[in-house]
Amino acid sequence: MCIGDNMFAILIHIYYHNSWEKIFAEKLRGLQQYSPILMINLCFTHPQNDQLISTIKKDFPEAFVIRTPNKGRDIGGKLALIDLYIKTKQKADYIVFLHDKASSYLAIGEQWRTELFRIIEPNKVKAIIDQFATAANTGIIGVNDFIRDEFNKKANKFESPNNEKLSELIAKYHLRITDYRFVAGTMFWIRSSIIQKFFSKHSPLACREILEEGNFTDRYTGTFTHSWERIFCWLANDQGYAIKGI
Amino acid sequence: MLINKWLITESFSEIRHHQLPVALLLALDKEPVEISELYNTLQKMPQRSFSILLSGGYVPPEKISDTYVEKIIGTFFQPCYYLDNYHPVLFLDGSSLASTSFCSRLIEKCKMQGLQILTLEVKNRQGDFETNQFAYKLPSGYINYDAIVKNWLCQYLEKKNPSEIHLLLSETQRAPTDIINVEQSLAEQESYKIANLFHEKQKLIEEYEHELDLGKIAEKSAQLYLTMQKEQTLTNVDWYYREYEILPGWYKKFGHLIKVLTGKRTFRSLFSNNAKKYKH
Repeated sequence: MCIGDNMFAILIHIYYHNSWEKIFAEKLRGLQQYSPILMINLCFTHPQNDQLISTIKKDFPEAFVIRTPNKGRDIGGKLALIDLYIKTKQKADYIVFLHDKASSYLAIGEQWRTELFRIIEPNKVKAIIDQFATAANTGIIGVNDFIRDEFNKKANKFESPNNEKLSELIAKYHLRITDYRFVAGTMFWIRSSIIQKFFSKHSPLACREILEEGNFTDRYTGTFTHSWERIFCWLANDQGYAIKGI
Repeated sequence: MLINKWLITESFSEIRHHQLPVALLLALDKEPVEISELYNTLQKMPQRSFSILLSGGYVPPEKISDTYVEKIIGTFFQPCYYLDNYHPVLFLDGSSLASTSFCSRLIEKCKMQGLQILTLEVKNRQGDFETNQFAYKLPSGYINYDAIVKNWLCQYLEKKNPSEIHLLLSETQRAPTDIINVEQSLAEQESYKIANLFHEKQKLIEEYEHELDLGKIAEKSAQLYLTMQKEQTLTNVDWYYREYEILPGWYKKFGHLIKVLTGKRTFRSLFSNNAKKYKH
């Protein structure tokens, strides 16, 4: 199939200031043949934002860049980008979520990111778009090894510190979920219609309000931010779509 | 900058055509239906300064729309939105505006987004020197820079933390000859030179304080990650003990023989610590 301009939008959250050059710039240059819509969120309080924005705009003049406070980590950044995507009336078929995941507490943090970034390898992009085109029920495509399921059917609860917050959010957004799988790391392709449909009813910025501020973990207690990491994928299931792995 | 000049405009499409930083006039009771043009325009001018001037009277709480508030917050996220010490600057045209439900709601919603905004009440008279806020929207082309700068100096020396000086100009005021002449002579005035130095020093202090805050956050994160790594190491050691160390010695020795037989360890390494241990 033919891949047209602006067929997909890439929404990127950047926390670390050197990530643009270190992680993204070259990978995105490799995707220029597809002319994706680029939307990038930077950390509000970074002193070198102006220089970084100039560099990004020099490389990709059509890129949209915003800066938001460090709230909800990459999830908060992605919600702010969805707000921008909707308010600027973008019309892509698919949205790709990425961020400069470092997982500094893990020796294999960088390895995880490399694995997750396989979804934007130029030779995978066409295959992914083909898969969306041929399987109408595919809502999300992510890296197979990162598709997880924490739901314990017998106990009817999530085997995660986020159990209570997940239940709270599912009830709040009236989600009907039959498949609790999600892409850990929140980097995946998703049909934009799924995002448009949910966030036309629930403002992305209102969803962002409840997220935690600063740097934190869900290792000890659950967080709304880590719960949203799962909810993102369940939006597809709620609308009748499935997750596929590559 | 100590003195900032803003050109007031009501039209989204006009913003790009002006050379001066732009203050977009928004009325409290008139929510812009369409915001995409504004956001798309602001994205084309990341290096220019932009701000919002809110005007209007009382809006009943029930009429305050969160969509309007969120549209304004979305502009604070734009790279060109003017920040003072990392706080978006919002001009309020009217002394009672700050106490309106709309502004309270906006400030509250900003906090929920992790943002602290700096609201500056715009004065319409040059002699109004009672507060530490220095934003002016003057009816005539005459601007008494001398009085404004001297008052700013007084406020600074009294440690009242004065805001930067903002002059919001209408289209007709943007470049009258008398303003340009006065501005050119301003740089020679002693009071201005001193005020400017104080302002630059203040900016440096704020920048260092900010970097210190960022350093504290980074250290806190590093401590958290270190704690997590230590816990992980303890878990790994515990796993090793229960899975391997707990086995009898003869069983472990037999295991090493199996490693040699399956090619995972060299035969010589069974007898010498100096021999190469692993084949791969």
